[in-house]
Amino acid sequence: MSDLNAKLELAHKIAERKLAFIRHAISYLVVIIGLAIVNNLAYASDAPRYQWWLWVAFGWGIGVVSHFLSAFLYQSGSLVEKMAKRELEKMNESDKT
Amino acid sequence: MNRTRLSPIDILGITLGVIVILIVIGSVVVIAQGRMFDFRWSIPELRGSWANPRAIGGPVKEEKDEKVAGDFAEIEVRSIAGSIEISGTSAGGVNVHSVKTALFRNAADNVHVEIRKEGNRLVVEEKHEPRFFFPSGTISFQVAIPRGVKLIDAHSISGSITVHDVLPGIDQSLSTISGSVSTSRAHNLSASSTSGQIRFTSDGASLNARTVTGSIDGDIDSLDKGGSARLSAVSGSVTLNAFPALDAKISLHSVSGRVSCAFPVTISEQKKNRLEGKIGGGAASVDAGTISGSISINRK
Repeated sequence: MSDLNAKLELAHKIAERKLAFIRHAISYLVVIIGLAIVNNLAYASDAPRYQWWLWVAFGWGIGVVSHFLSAFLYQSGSLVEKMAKRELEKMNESDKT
Repeated sequence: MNRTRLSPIDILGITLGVIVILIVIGSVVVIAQGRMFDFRWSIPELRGSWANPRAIGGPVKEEKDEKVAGDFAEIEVRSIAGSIEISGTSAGGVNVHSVKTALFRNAADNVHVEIRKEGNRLVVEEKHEPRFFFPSGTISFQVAIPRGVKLIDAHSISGSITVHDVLPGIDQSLSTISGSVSTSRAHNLSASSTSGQIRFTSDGASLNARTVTGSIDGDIDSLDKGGSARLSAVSGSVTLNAFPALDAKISLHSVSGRVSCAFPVTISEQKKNRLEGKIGGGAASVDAGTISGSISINRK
């Protein structure tokens, strides 16, 4: 039962991470598209204008991509959890010897 | 084979992730190209860029010659990172040869040469578009000046400045931050560099040379009565080769460097790192100071 509970807990965590990423990505897209529109429509002239929204798209985008990788690629637990498991295994082995 | 099926949420998440990755890559490409001011990103233009990498990248080098007719008493040349070379010419008018270099096409388009007349002064300047935080091109100048010029005013940020083969009697004001300064024939001279070396030959009434980490190495062909030569460095050395008839009060002082003078001096104060006195009657003044560099005055 404890194994099933652990799996359920992990599945819950993964689902939460994925939903959190989807919310993050949607808000990123909405804000970036809004900034791009404001950047290019807020002026009357046709003169070339500085595309400052690209800096936001780039900077925030790195954060969203990191979020994407953590939500969809590292599904079997966080790095800390993996490392903790390894350390625990080492301790058990040293106790046996 | 055990394949897990993707749920709609997974597909949505991965799709969003791929879209964000594409936006980040696109923004990096546009920022790196320096196209932040160009809102006309038509699809054929982008397609052309991708199909032909030379349209985006590849170093650019453009040379241009411009001749400005007229008589000018003063010439001002300003660059950012490019070098400045000024020489004399027997022909009339000012010849400006500019060399523009850039990493890619858009960076080259961000910079241009501006030549304007301000009374009897001709200003040759490197001008950049007001852009933020991406590479721009560099312009180096080779300016040939005619007879009649009385003042050369040249400034750069990281480029070196060289003046050679000009007529005698021209005052010069030369400054750069990280480049070197070299002039072979100056009348009154003001030269400064932060980290570069200063080399000069002067024959006027006023000489000022300042550097921080570079050294100063100069020839004084004459120094008018009542004139002054002031030279200062921090870690660099100061070496002066003066004409034999030098007649000046001297004040040479260094914190940790050596001080020496090849002329006979009527000494008023002498310490290990300090020498004050007169050469001849003391009609002019020579003042040189360093922190750790040595100071020497040699006879030509």
